[in-house]
Amino acid sequence: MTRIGKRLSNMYYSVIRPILKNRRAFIGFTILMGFVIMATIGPLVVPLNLKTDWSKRFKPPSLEHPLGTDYGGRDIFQQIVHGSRDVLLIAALSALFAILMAVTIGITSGLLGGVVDVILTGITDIFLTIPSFPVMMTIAAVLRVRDPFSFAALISVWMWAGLARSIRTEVASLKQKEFIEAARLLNLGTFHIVFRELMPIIMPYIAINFITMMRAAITASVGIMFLGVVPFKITHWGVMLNMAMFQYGAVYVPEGVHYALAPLMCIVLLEYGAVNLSHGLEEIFNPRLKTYE
Amino acid sequence: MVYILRVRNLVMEYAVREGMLRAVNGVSLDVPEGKITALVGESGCGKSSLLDAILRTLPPNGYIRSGEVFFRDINLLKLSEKELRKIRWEKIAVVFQAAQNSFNPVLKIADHIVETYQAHRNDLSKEAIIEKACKLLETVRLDPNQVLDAYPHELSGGMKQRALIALSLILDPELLILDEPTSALDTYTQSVIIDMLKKVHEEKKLTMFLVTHDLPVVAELADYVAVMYGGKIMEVADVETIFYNAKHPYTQLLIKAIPPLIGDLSDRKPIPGNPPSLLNPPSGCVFHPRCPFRKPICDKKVPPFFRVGNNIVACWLYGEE
Amino acid sequence: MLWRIIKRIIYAFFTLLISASITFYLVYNIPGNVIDVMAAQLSESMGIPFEEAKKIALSYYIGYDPNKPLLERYIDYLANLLRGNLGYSILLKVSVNEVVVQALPWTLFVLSTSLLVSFAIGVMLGLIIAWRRRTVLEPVVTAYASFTDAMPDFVTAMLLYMFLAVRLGWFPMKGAYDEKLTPGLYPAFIFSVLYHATLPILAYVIEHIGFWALLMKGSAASVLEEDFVKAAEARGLPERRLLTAYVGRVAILPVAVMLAIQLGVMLGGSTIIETVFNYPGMGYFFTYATTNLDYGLMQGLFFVIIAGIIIANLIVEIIYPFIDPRARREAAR
Repeated sequence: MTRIGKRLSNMYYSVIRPILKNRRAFIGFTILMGFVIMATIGPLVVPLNLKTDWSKRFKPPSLEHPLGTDYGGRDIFQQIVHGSRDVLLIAALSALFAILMAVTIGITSGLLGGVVDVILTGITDIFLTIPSFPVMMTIAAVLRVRDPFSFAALISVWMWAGLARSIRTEVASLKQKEFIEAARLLNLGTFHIVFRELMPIIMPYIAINFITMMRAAITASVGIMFLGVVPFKITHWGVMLNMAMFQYGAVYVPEGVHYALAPLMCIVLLEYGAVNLSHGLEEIFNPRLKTYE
Repeated sequence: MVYILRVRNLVMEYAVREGMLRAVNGVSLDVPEGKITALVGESGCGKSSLLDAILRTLPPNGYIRSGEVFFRDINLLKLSEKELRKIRWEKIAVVFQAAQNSFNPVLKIADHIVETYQAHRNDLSKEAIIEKACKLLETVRLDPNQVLDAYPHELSGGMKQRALIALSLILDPELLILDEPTSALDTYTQSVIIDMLKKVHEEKKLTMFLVTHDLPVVAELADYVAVMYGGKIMEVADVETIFYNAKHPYTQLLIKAIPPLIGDLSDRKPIPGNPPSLLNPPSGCVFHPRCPFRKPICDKKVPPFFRVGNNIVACWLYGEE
Repeated sequence: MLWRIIKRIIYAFFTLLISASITFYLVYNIPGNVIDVMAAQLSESMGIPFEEAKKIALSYYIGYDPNKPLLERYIDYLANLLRGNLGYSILLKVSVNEVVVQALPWTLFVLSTSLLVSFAIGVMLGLIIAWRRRTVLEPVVTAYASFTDAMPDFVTAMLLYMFLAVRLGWFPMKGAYDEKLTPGLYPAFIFSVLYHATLPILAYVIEHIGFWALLMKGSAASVLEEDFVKAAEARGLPERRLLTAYVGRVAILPVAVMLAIQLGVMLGGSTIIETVFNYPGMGYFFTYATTNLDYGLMQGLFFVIIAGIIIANLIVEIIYPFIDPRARREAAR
């Protein structure tokens, strides 16, 4: 019991407390938590009424409809809440897959060196050079990507390369350091070296990158849907933007502005939270970056 | 004796995370004209910070709190940026520590020399400046053809150090300040530089102020020596007196700690204790925690300078209040 | 030295090949009936028998003939690429080359202007706030930069479009120039071009100034700590010289490297920005091709975009050592 207790208190002091103390991290964390709650509990609490009622088109925000109504008279707030789930899900999955790939390839490449390293680095470089957005658009269109998982997979394929390269460089340089030599001499085995020695060092870096990747995934997924390449559920913010912009004239009609603004503002807020959290985490793990007078 | 540089009660601090770090804690010093004066002390005693304060090349978190620095009759601390620029290099030139990084990596050595000259005077054409530079480079035993067109990374450490000294002389300054000119160099290059400095001093009667922790170099070059510790000056005397008849306990321990080239190391003793914290300096005399001759008054009051024969000593052993 | 350049070129070529292969693979997936549909259309409009129409359709779509083996199709495709034939657009009924000739100049115009403007302003800002630490400017610029960095391209573009073009009507809502004018080098036309390009350029610049400013600030801040800057100050060099030849020139190097990479990013973003503003550049047509599944156009434009980015990166990699003497040593190996 005390062991778990110790682990938890360790986590509190080394992770949670610094986040609470660092202003930026705290702001970012709160905002993100807000969205996570919206995505998980929201759809259970808020109903989704998709019946069109043309008499109620583009009504401004009111008590009944906190964010107004869309082109079909449907409540925007409900759509945002339900859409948040997919937005966050795709983003989180993409980041997760990307990190798994990056870590695996990066560590393997860095630790093993030699021919394996050269081949893997070559592959990484190729994925780095090819610009991600056009490729994602093309593949998404041609392969008719429709569900969150494949979408996340597609995005992650073009996101892992940068992180993999950094991890590889880091591992390659750590490999030379004494404590790895010591572990080797003590015959502690590769498994131990990877998980007990290397991982704790690159963990903070991975955590920060997770958030950055989520941000990038949101931008990419919303962007693709915004352009109309992938028809997805209409509650997804990207699709809402697509409809606002290109399909139902919300942009051109003065009253329709909140249909476009609502998802926009949510995206901006979400990104803002993510940026703050990642900058804050950077400051925590690398105190030199703090700007002090 | 004419003093070309006079420092009076200079106090300088750095703002760091833990508070204010007082690197220069009321330093007073006179540098005589026409001689070579050395400032000696351990790493971290504030020597380099003193130079930064004198020339006002402080980093963003450095502050001069009080005191005066007189170059002849001019108080350097009260000058405007424009006036200061006239003094820099034309009257006082500095060769900083680690010459390896004193050059701009994207400019050739010749460019450095030309731009420095042109920033101050426009009486010479570019060719004339290069000519003068050639002569200076030869004085420091460098081949102008090799060095002038080179980029800094193409030269070795010793060559860069010598090039820097040549650069420092381009405007015929009256005072040359050198910060650790021989550290980070191999012993052979060190001796070359020492010889060269001696030569330059003799030829041009140039006043030199040398800051170093390397006592053997001091013995070879200096006429006068000042000893610094914990941000304050402990003792000042001519070089012979310092080595054979030092009065301050710190100086004595310092001299005793130098290992001889031949002979027995067994009676070499390092100075016991740790260097003082500059964030929270000890009360009274800054050396008292490590001093073997400590008296009760030593941790209460800061000793003033006492004149004892050829020495000027800041120590309560040599006077009363 | 030369060997290094050759190595890079080989590598770029290889990457290009892989990209071409990706597009080929994608188009390999075209359902056969697309050709049939086209053949039917051709046969109707030109009044020729279906079989002949099909042959013509196949000739436009090199490499897509389902009757030929995969390897032959692949080689056909590559051979045509080398000859400069990018394919054919089903929906627009013109060759992709024609689309590229029309659209590429606009995209290049907008992108290069945006890149240069945001680079110039951003770098200057970054240098100033690194140099004068304690001014009001620093927190403002930093906050602005973090904020715009976080905002995706389409947010800025949409906001600009919605408010400045649609609502206030200050800027046009589509096109690269006023349609009533015939293209030519006269003031009214040039003005119209600039007028139509303003919003897209503005969108890019607003987004990316922060990026350059922060990058330059970081670079300049670390250069400022270098001894040679202090040594130059001690030599009595004037502030202006310090800023330009010392801090500026050295700090800008790692930043300038990013130019090519940024071009790649912006090229990717052009799909969104050009589509929002209805600006007829490569991005606009690429979006059109993708959303409407015009395979020929999609694959041709894709190749051009990728080739452009790869070449840009290649140029930067080759040129860099000439600009930074320190890197020359490395390169000489």
